[in-house]
Formats: sequence, structure tokens, C-alpha cells
Amino acid sequence: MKIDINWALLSPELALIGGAMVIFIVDLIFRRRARYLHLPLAIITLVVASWLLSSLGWNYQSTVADSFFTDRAAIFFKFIVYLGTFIILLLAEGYRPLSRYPLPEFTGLVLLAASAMSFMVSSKDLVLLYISIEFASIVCYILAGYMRNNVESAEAGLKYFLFGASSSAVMLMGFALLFYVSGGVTNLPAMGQALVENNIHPAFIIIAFGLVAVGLSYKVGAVPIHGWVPDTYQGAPTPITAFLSVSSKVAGIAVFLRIIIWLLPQESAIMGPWTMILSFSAMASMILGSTVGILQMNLKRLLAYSAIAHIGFILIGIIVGMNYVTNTGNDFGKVSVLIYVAGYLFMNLGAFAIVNMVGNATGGYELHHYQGLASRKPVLALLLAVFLLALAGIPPTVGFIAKFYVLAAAIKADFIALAVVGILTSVVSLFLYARVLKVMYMDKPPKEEIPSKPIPAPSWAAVGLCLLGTLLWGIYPDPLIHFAKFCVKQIWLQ
Amino acid sequence: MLETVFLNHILSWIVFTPVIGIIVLFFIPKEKTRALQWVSVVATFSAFVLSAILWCRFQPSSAEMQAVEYATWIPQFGIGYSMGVDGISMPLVMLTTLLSFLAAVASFSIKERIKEYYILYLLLVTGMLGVFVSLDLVLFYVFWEVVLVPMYFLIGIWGGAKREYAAIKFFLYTLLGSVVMLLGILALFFKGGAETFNMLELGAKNFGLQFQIIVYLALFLGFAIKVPVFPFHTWLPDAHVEAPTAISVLLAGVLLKMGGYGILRVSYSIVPNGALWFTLPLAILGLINIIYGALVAMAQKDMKKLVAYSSVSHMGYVLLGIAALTYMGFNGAVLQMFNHGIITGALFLLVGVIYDRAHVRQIDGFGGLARTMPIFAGVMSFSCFASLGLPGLSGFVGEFFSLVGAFKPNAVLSMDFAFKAIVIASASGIVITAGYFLWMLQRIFMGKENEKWKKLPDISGRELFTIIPLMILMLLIGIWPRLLVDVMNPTIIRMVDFVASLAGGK
Repeated sequence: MKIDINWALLSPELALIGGAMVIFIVDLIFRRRARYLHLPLAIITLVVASWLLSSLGWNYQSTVADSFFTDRAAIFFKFIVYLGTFIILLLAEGYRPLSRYPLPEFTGLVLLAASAMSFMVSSKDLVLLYISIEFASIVCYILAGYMRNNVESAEAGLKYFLFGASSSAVMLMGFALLFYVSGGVTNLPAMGQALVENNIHPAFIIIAFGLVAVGLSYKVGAVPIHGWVPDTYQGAPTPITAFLSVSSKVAGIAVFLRIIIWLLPQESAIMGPWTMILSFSAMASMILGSTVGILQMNLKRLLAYSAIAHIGFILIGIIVGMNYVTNTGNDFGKVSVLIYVAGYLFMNLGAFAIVNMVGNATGGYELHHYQGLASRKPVLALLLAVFLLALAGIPPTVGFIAKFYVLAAAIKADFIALAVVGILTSVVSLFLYARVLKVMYMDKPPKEEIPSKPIPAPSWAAVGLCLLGTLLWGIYPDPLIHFAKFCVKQIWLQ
Repeated sequence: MLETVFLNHILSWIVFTPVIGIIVLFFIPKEKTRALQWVSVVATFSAFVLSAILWCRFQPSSAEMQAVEYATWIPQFGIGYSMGVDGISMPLVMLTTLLSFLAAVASFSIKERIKEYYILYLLLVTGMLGVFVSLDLVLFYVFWEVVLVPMYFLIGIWGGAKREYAAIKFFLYTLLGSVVMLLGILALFFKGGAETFNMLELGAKNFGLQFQIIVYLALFLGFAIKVPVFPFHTWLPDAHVEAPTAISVLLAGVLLKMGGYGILRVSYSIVPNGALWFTLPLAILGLINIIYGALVAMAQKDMKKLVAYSSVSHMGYVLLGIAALTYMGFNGAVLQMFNHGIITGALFLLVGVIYDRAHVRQIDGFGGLARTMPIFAGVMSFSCFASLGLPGLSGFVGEFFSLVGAFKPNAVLSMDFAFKAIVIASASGIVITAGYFLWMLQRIFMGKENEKWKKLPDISGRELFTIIPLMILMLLIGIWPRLLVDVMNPTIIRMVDFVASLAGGK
């Protein structure tokens, strides 16, 4: 049986894998002489992959027996993943603790993870989806625990692995159940149709979906599978924390969105219970993230809890996207998810970039390292202030636009309770960010001189990019909104 | 050419001139104090001059929006960059630019981290101006929020002993009100079936009563926290007392007016039926503000806190005037907003004068100061008399109009007896106000001189420069309120008639 493969569609992912292999091989052959090659090689790979991605065309196409597809929203999500990866690699360049470990392999692994996440976003088939999720997760476990002589990093990797392995197993169970119940179909849209046609009892689907959702919750870091987030974020090397918080999460959100659209038929008995379950997850994530985050003293842990709160917000968008459906492309829920994801990339990576730079310069991530930062390093303090205020949703940053859109979607679809919890937790989370602002601006710098090492140039480039995204889309969001709507229009056509 | 660039977009120029100031400030090294101070003063003065030009070109006879500007911003939501002024916002814009200029001069007493101070200060001014001229709800909200961040830092870094607590309390409290207000705004667009966020277009729509009530309450929370209405006033004493002098002036003089303006501009124009439904509670809240604020002010030992609570009390007259729904009541409310800004601005500047010299604000710690600082005593007494509503000075006009306007409320409300009772009760507030101000004056300026403060220098030229314009205005408006009323009245007549007509149809 010959399977027709449209290699052009697969080219971005293949480019990434190829780039990773090239880096590994170059590192094997040239060892020390090629120490400076891996970053430029990685960047070239990403540029090539992005170019290939943009040349794919905006129409829906699928290949490999209809298991791998590309459409506008997939391209959108993949761009976000690649942009995130690019910024991470810039940050990793200056990340001192990593210099004791093999860096080319690190870069290659990051590229492999990016390709896996790419596959995740484009999977239409259960098997491809599961394999790509596992691929991404395994590479991320390695990356999280990369600094194996560092206790915290090892703990981060281990916790991530344990949570991930068990959640994946549960998710596989759910997939198996769905596979059985739909009569042996692995193609997701076909499975969705089969579930409707075969008149499956809703309870089956709810349970199966629940099991799948466990795995998805783990990937995005939402309640109730959020336990790994604080420890992994705190222990992993900072660039990897940033990677997990953006690229991995975005891929997970993309998968979440697709599974919901394909597997949950509209106007069915499953929608109601599922909306309730996801609503509880969203509200719990927002509440937990913003309240427990207040107690944190470590910046990376603080940003971890803030990530949990933000994923709650994104879940609101997903819930609305699930329920409020039109075919006219004016689909608020899904558009809001895309906009939030794009904005979140810039805000979050910007914050992590500064945390990375301050960590490098002062050697620590605790709040007391940030004391009086405004007088010691005013530019860094100002940048961090901008990013934290964006995360809090203060205009005129992209964070405000993103929250505005999600709240608008929730109100339009009558999910008032979600909107109210959203705004109240926004106020609470402001306290969380304001603590950092207070320490930076209102506390006196410590008496002893904290030795400060210079900050490498690529980090500034990364920060500049994030700042541009945060402020530009905040003041003039029109192109972003337009693009998001354009991408969502097509989600119905397959 | 000059015509097109400046005059057609004068509102944008007024709002963003401070931003130009910020950009210039960025390039000045932080040691050059004089340069930083002068750039900020020039920036705020330019905004003031531009607003004065606008005032001269303002056509009072027309009730329409003037100096209107429009540009598309986020077309998917019908959000546009629209600005305009009418009779209600024009005096408030003048108030903002004048107080910003004077407070910038008063900020010369800030001695550390001056560059950051002025950058945040100018950002604050932009936000405040933007609120008063926005005609689009989302633009209004954006400027409303823009005010919060600089204020947080200004109080938290340059404030008094409990500054961090006061700053975060202010930030969280106001943000809570703002986000609830945002929900109300979103509900208007998405549930009301309006396709726009433009205030004028929204005002022309008719929403259902239930919907209007819910939206009114959501919006009201945001405005009530700003005014501040009892019981949401608890952020005010801390923020006002801990903020540096110039910032207290802006807090009391302008920020509180944003709340009152919001009620008029947003609630009464867009959800008038909801506003009508809430009339009696609003009047009662006004009464509570007046009496409670006055009584608590009487009990204060700290000068600044006394003035802060007097603000709470004075804003009660604003609420009462609005609730009455008469021409006189509305005029009284807006007059009271303007006058209170001027008077309380002056009072905070004067308290700052003493604090700069003595570094204490305890009323009982002084005595016989009239002998040591005669000019200061005269100026302070003048301002206190204005604040307590002495006829001939501007404070009287606002209070008088509000009370008389509320004594005979709009016939459509059918609440004559209730309002009469409320006004009679509020009148006692005037007596209490007179009480605490006169008592404060007596304790500070009269009686035996306190040995500790015998050598205090009198008020300086720079400080007088900031107070004299305010004193002139207090006198001028007290004698000839038509300066303001002529500008405000046509707009007010139209607004009152519009809301009253809806009540008649009930």
C-alpha cells in the first residue's frame, strides 16, 4: 500500500529535525572547535523552518493518510512555537550555569522539542498525536533536568517526568477508550463523527474525555495536574523554564482546542458536563495561581504560579470556543485564545528574559536579589516592570488586550461567573506582581555590592523583541486581531 | 497650516503634551535637577495654555460635543480614538491642567530620584486628561487605568511613613473598581446589542431596565471607589496622607473628580434608567458622605488627614446634586467638583508648606503660628473659609446650588419629601464643616505660641506662586460663578432634560 506523502507540508518539522541532527553531528566531529557554531546553526534552522512554514499557503492541506495537516491556525501556533524557541536560544546563550554542560546537545534537543511540538499542533490522527506528545515530553524531561549535577534541576526533571509519565498513561487509556468506542477509528475528525453516529452513551465519552483531559491538563499546566509546575519551573534552567512556559504550553493549548472541536459534537449531551468540568478547572487555576503566588519568594516560582493563573484565563477562551459556535469566523472564543497565546508569548518571555539576566548578573532568583534594582540597574527594572504590568493586564500593553478579548468572549457567551472570577483574580494577581515592583522600586539596595557580570548581547535582542511585541500590540492591536480572526475562520472546514 | 495641525487636534495635543515632556526628560541626565524641573513645568504649562486656548474657542451656547476628533483604532469592536469636550468636561480639563502645572511647581521640594518622579508625574497628567476628554468607553477605560500605575509608584516611593501600604491599598482598591467597571462596559457592548463603544452612540440607544440596572451598578462600583462614596472611601485617608504634597493635590483635586465625572458622563448618559432607579440611594449615600466625612474630619489630629476627610465630605454634595436631577443640582455638582479641586488643592499645598518646615502635621503641636507666619496664616484662613463655604468664596456656590437644587428635586422623581429630609440633614454638615475648620485654625494659628516653632520661615515666593492663582479663582468664582455656569449650563440642561424625559415615561 503506497502512502502518498506531501513532503512540502512536513518540511518545517523535517528542517528542525535535520538542523538538530546537523548540530549533533558537527558537535561529534569537531568537538571543541565548533563550540561557537551551534547557536548560529540553530538560528539558521529556525529561520529556514519559519520560511518553509510561511510558504505552505493558507489553505487546509493534509498528508500521510490524512494524519498530518496544516491550516491557518496550525501555522499560527507553529509560528508562536518557533518564535518562542528562537528567543529561548538567545537567552540560553548567556545562561552561565549551563556552560558547564554540553551546550550543542542542549541546542539540538531544544530544536527536536520544537519539532515535536510542531507535530503535535499538526496532528489529526490519534497515534501521531500521542507519539508527538510523548516525543515532546521526553525531550522536555531531559531538558528540564539537563544540569544533572544541580540538585534542583534533577528534582525538576524527575518531578516533570513522574507527572508526565503518569498523565500520559492516563491519557493513553482515554485514547484507547475512544478508539474502541468509535469503532476502531484513529483519525480524529472521523472519530468525532463516529461518536455521534454510533450513538455512544454520553457517559462513555465523558469518562474517555476526562482521561484524555488529564494528559492535556498536564501539558498545559492547569489545575488539577498543576503540581509539577512550581517545582519544575523553579529548578529547571531558566531558558528551559521559559521554553516550557511558552512553547510547550502553546502546543498543548493547540491540541486541546483541536480535540475539543473534533471530538465534542455540538449540541450534545456531553457539552454541558464538559463545560462545567472545564469551568471548574479554569476557575481553580486562576484562583490558585493568583493566591498561592502571593506567598512566593522566588521569581521563577512566582512566574510559575502566574503561568497557572494565565492558563486558567486561556481555558475560559477555550470553553467559550467550545460552546459559542458560528461558522462566520466571528468566533470569539477561539480568536481570544489565539490572541492571548500570542500576547502571552511576548509578556512571559520578556519577564523570563529579565529574570534570566538578573539571575546571571546577581546569581540568584530570590526576591532579595531584586532589592532596589531600580537604582542598581534601572533599565532592567523598568523592563521587568513593563512585563509584569502586562501580565497583570494593565493597559496599554498586550496583556490588557488579551484579557479584554477573553472577557468579552465570556460575556458574549453568557459565562458571567467565569468573567467575574477572571477579573477578581486579575486584581489578586496584581498584588503578586506588585510585590516584585515594590521590592525593585521602593526598597533600598542592599549595603554590600552584589557583584554584577555583564549581560551578553543576544539576551538584549530577545528582550527587545518581547518589549516590541508587548507594547506594539497593546497600543495598536488591530493587525493581531485581524490575523487571529483570519486564522480561526478556517477551523471549521475539515 | 497651524490651524489644521494644532486647532483641529487640540485635544490630542493637550492630552499628549506631557508625553512629549516625558520623551524630552528621558534624554536629560538625572543629575541636572533644574533642567528636569523646568522641562516638566514647561510641559504642564503648555498643556494649560492649550486648554486655555480651547476655553476661549469654546462655544458655550451649544450643548454639543466640541473639538471632536476621531480615528479608527480597533474596528472589529467599533472602538475608536474619539475625543471631545462639552460643558461638563471643559471646566474639568481646565482644572486638571491648572492643578498639574501648579503641582509641578510645588514638586520642586522633591529632592531624590527627581527624573523618575517627573516622568511618572507627566504620565499621570496624561492619564487624567485623557479620562476627561475620551468619548469612547474603551479609550476612557485605558486612560482610567493609565492613572493607576504612576500613582502607585509616586505614593510608594516618595510618600510618607506608611507609603508602601497606602500605595498598594490604593492600587488594589481602585483596580477592583476598574475591572468591575470593565465588566459593565463589556456587557454594554456584548449583551446590549450595541455595535460600538462610542459614548455618544451608546447614549442614543435604549437598553432594557433590568440590564441598565446591572450595568449601572457595575459602573457605579468603579466610580464610587474613586469619588469616594462611603463605604468605599477607606483608601483615601491613607493615600492622601502618605502621598507627597504635589501628588495629594492631584489626588484630591483631580482623581476624585474622575469618579463624579464618570457618573455624569457614563452612567447618566448611557444607562439613564438605571441611574434613575438608583436616585434615592445615591442621595442617601451623598448625605452619609457629607455627615460622616465631616464628623470624622472633626476627630482628626493630623492636618492632612483632616483635609482628606473633608474631601470625602465635600464630594457628598456632588452626589446630592446629581441625584436631584435639576438644573441647579447638576450645576451645583459640577461647580462643587471644580471648586473643591481648587480649594482642596490649595489646602494640601498649604499643609505641605508647614510639613516642609516642621516635618510634623499634628494640629495640637502648633499654636500662635499667626505671629510667626502671618502671610501663611492669612492664606490658610482664606482657603479654609472657602472650603467651609463662606459666601463670597467659591466653596459656597457649589454647596448652595447642590442643596437648593436638591431641596426641590425634579418633579418626575416624585421624591420631594425624601429629598427635603436629606437636604435638611445635610445642612448640619455645613455647620460641622465650619466647626472643624475653624477649630483647626484656632488651634494652629491662635493662642499661645509654641516655643518649638517660633523660628519657622514664612511662606516663600515659590509657594505663594502656586497658591495665589487658586485664591484668585476662589474669589472670582465666588463672586461671579457665571464664569463657569455659562459654560456648563447648556450641556447640563440638555442632560437633565434627557434623563428626566425618560423618567416621565415610566
